[in-house]
Amino acid sequence: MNISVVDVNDVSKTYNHGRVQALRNVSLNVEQAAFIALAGPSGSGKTTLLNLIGALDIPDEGSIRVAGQSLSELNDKQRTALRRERIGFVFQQFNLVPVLTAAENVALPLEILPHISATERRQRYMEILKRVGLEGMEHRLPTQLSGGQQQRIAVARALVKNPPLVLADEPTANLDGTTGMAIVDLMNQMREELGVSFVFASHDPRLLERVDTVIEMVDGCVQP
Amino acid sequence: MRTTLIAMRLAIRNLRRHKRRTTLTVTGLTLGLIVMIVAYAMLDGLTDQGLDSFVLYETAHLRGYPPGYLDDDIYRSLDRLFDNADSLSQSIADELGVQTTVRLNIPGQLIVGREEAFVEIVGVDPIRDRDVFATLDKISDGEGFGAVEGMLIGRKLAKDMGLAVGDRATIFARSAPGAYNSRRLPVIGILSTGNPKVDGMSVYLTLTDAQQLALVENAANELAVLSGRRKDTDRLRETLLENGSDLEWQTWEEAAGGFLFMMQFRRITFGVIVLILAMIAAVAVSNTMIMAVHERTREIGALRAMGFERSMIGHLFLFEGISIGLISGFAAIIIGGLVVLWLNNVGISIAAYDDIQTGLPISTAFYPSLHLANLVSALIFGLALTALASLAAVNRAQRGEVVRALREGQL
Ligand SMILES: Nc1ncnc2c1ncn2[C@@H]1O[C@H](COP(=O)(O)OP(=O)(O)OP(=O)(O)O)[C@@H](O)[C@H]1O
Ligand SMILES: [Mg+2]
Repeated sequence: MNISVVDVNDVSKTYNHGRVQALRNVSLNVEQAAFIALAGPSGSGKTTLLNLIGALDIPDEGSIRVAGQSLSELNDKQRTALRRERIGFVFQQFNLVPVLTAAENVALPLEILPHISATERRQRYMEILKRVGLEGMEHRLPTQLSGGQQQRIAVARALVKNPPLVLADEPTANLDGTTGMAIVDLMNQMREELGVSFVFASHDPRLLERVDTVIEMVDGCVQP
Repeated sequence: MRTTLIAMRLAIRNLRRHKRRTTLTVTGLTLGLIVMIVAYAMLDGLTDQGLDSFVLYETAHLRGYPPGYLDDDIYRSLDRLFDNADSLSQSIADELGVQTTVRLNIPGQLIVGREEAFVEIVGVDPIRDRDVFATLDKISDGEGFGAVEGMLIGRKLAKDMGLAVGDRATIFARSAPGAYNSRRLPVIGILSTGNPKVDGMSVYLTLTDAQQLALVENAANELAVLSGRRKDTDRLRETLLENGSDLEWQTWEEAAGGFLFMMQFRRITFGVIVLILAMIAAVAVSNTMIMAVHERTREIGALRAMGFERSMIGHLFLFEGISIGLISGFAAIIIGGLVVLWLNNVGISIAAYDDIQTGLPISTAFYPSLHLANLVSALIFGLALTALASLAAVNRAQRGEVVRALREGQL
């Protein structure tokens, strides 16, 4: 039984008033609990595709469905709501809120969701912190954590709201090899335990070795 | 509601994180607000005490004059008199339940040896005048009317003329019939009221002595009224006019009109200075906030990706800006309030301007008044200023595209 989490259909995207063709007629399908990576040289359109799937940007042509929702039917506010409820993000630069502790950073996505009690919030962020192996660090500020630990917090932050989909753009690029792979292994474990789909954009060969599927991109096109 | 709390928490933490910048901005704004609080407290004090001085020594609450008196040249003060002064005064007091007294004002001269000075000779009822005016309670040297015949003169006039208690001086004035008349009397007391008109240019006689000087009998040209409440004078005047009084009535507010206008003018002048200071402060706050947005662009991008609404991002920076106003406002209220309380205790001496016509009804010292409205205004002003100054940053923070913020760290 294959449930599609993401369905990209014949999508194109240009920048600078059509002068830069970032994506050309891209189609892609992401199933539940997938672990796939977009690979390809710099400028091939990996981030662009990830941003479109993440409802951060709008395609010029084609359609995208995420968790059953057709993105083209959503306005700015509804796209924001979709991200809030259904999509987790992990960034290359971690992008934690520097004034919040590890626990507060992880709890932040829950704070903007309605109908979650303080008790439930606490229970959920404590559980996810345990899963990513950062128990006992919840009161540290991001500056008091190593890069690997910060990225673990970021992964926990992406997962705390139990989204069906996590998008990670170059999650290992700012980490040394061992730490980076530990993060990838952690995400793989989360995929297995929680059934979340992970989509990466990366040219890190060790990451590409560990995913189920590598989608090769060149010049905005998906290579067969 | 919860998102508001998050925004406030983030705002406070970010302000604490950039301690130097926050301290600098808050200090600048606080100083400005302190200046505002203290300056307006000084204006309030001057106004309050100026009006007190008018009421206590010059105007009472309401003064009645023979019709036409107020339009006349003061040198014709004796041309219009009411001669049933005592009974008129008594009947008004009885009917309206107010304090009344009559006075006879005579323009004249005080002569000591070869020195002479133009003065206002005021004939007062030694007993009833004290029910209405505070003048006779302010004898700093010598004694009041009673045992010995003589005159009371203002402190500064005495100094200028080299007079002390016991010295004799001549008062010289045109009488009601027209001929000049004079009397030579000892100074029995010195008046120190702090009111420049009383202290600097007035000679007080008993009503009887003044009437003798003016060659009139039982006549006066001023009927002063003190009612329970200062604010009610307009109604009191209406009642008096309805009761068939044919006097011309002037309230303390009308009499102090020039002074009130001058104070209003000072308020406005200072208001302009405050606005200029405010604009400088607004530019500083605005810069601080734009800098904060600029530094946190990636963070904004990440929050937007996470599902923060544009408006939530806006609130984040709005609260941060307003917090600067809130902290500064409260700091200014505490520090400015203490400064005002201290000044209110020690007073601000203006005795150095004794010889200059300041136009103020105060000549010695004044005490800034701490009005709650003044403090609250400073706080509201600080909040409004920081809110307005944050708008550019708020707009920039919530307007930008997430993709660009994440990609280039630019909004
Ligand atoms: N916001 C933008 N404005 C203009 N051009 C853009 C924008 N975003 C991407 N591009 C262009 O679109 C193309 C695809 O860029 P994209 O960032 O998707 O590539 P990428 O595969 O993620 O590259 P990298 O490996 O360097 O991250 C590039 O030519 C890039 O210059
Ligand atoms: Mg990229």
